[in-house]
Amino acid sequence: MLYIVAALSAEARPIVEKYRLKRVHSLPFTLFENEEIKLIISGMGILNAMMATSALLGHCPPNENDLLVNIGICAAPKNFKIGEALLIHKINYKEHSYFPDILFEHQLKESDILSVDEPVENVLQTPADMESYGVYKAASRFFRTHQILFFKVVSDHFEPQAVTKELAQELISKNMQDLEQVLSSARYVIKKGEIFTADEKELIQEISEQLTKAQSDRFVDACYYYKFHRGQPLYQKGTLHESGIKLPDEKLSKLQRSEYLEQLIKTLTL
Amino acid sequence: MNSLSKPSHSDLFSHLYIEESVLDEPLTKEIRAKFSKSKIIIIKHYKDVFNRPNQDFAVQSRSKNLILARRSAPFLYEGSYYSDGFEYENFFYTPSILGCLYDCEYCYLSGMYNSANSVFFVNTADFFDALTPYLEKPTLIAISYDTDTLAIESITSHTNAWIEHAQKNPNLHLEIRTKSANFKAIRHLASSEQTVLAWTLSPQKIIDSYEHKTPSLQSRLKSIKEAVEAGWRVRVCIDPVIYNEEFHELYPSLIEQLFCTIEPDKLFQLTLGSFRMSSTHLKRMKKLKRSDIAFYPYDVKEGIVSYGKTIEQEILHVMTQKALEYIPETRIRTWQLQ
Repeated sequence: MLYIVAALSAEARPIVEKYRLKRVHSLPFTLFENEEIKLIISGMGILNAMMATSALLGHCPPNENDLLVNIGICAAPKNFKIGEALLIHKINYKEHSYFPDILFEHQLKESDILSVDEPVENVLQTPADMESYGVYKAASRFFRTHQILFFKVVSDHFEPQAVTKELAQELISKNMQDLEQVLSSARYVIKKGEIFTADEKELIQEISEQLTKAQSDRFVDACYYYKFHRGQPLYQKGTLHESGIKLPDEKLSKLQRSEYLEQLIKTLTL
Repeated sequence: MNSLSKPSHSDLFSHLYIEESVLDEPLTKEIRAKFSKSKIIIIKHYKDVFNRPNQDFAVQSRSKNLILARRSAPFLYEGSYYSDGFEYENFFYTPSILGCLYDCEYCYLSGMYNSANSVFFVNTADFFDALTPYLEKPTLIAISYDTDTLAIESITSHTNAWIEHAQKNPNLHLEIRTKSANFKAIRHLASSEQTVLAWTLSPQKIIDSYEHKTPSLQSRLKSIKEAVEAGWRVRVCIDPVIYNEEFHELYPSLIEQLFCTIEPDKLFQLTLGSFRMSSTHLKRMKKLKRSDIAFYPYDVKEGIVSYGKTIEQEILHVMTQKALEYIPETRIRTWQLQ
């Protein structure tokens, strides 16, 4: 699943249109989704960003193959071009700094960003926005540091009055190709294969139910050992191996359970 | 959206994190110059990056970054229970580099650190100063406990600095443990009895399976041969031995290969030991879910996991018997749970 947080509807519109996301009404925030993407409109500001991100991830908790991206516009000093897309590697908020990991190759400029509580008209030394910190703070409870991305497009040189909805939408639209490339690369890096198949998980579950919690933990460890060491299916019908990890025919006594566990471990690890 | 392209960074250190306090250090400038393409991120304290919660050690291992920082005390730690102190009254290790360029699945670093990145403390002189009070007696310092200093030598020149410091301090003895094939990085220095180069060797099949990004066995043996011929004291460590159904084929043959390459009389010592680790580190390694080594049904005794007495004794017996064909017992050291 790809989770997207955008502050403004105008920033989200190009993505909603491109991926034909449908509006759903399951959260007190504007939410769009399809089978692969959930996009939430947080509203402006750090608190809104934090609340919307928490609501989205609490509503639909992510897993280790998922990704979250905060997409939006930002102000920046004049050495950044209007319309330039940035990937953020350091978020500053007050005295604190946060560091999303960027572990893939890309062609974009990377930058720090300063998250501020109010729109800024003074020219700062780094790009600035009003959401990155809120998104990171909430998302870092759910994701690893390399699963959270900040894709920002420079909208102005600290002249907030010059930024219109139309401009925000246009700037995101023009950078959709870069965004897709970044997401594709990030997904490649985070992708982790499943260790056990559905059948294997079912077998492990059935056997675990015959054991105590501590015994089950040892059995599951042995299953991991077998999969990593042998690289073969855990359960093959008609093989000798099957006999070693088959389910017991009847309910086991305490002593039988211990013997059964030792047999399982021996079979899987020797 | 389904297409997957572009792998992780192919270049070493796509990002350099640099503490503000070391920006102007000469060593920092030298390293920055070597990584002109890397993105520079200025940080206040290395722990802000290195100790972040929720890092993924396994994913970061494929794309390691470097943090340059200033270490504050302590600069020395007493040698670990898991290691051999070689009967020195003073035995310390120095945490001057944290993290390793290599990615060995059995390494305790993956169970100890949140991050697969490396931290290099550029204030080497402070480490030397901290050592001074101990140098009235023979003192052993392991400089590659939490890293492989020779592997990263072309970037840090750290091993060179320590060997040169030892040359000025007769009571300072160094153990430099490595899996690298990088003897050339210190070849220009005069060999000294104060410094032991301790090479960790494994059978090539074990290297292929578990010791990612490390040099091949042949390359390591070549480097060892050069070091021995240049007069250095070389200790070969076949430690940790990873036990599996091929142990009897792989490990005795490794000893044969070693002594086909190195004249037995010229090897200073051979260390043998089977895999062991603190149970806390193993528990964290399991969470990475990437290696059979984390999931073997070890024995646990006093917070240490090991293969258990029977297998451990078998390992040491087989290895020692093989080694005795080449060198006397006095030059073989073994590690086993008491």
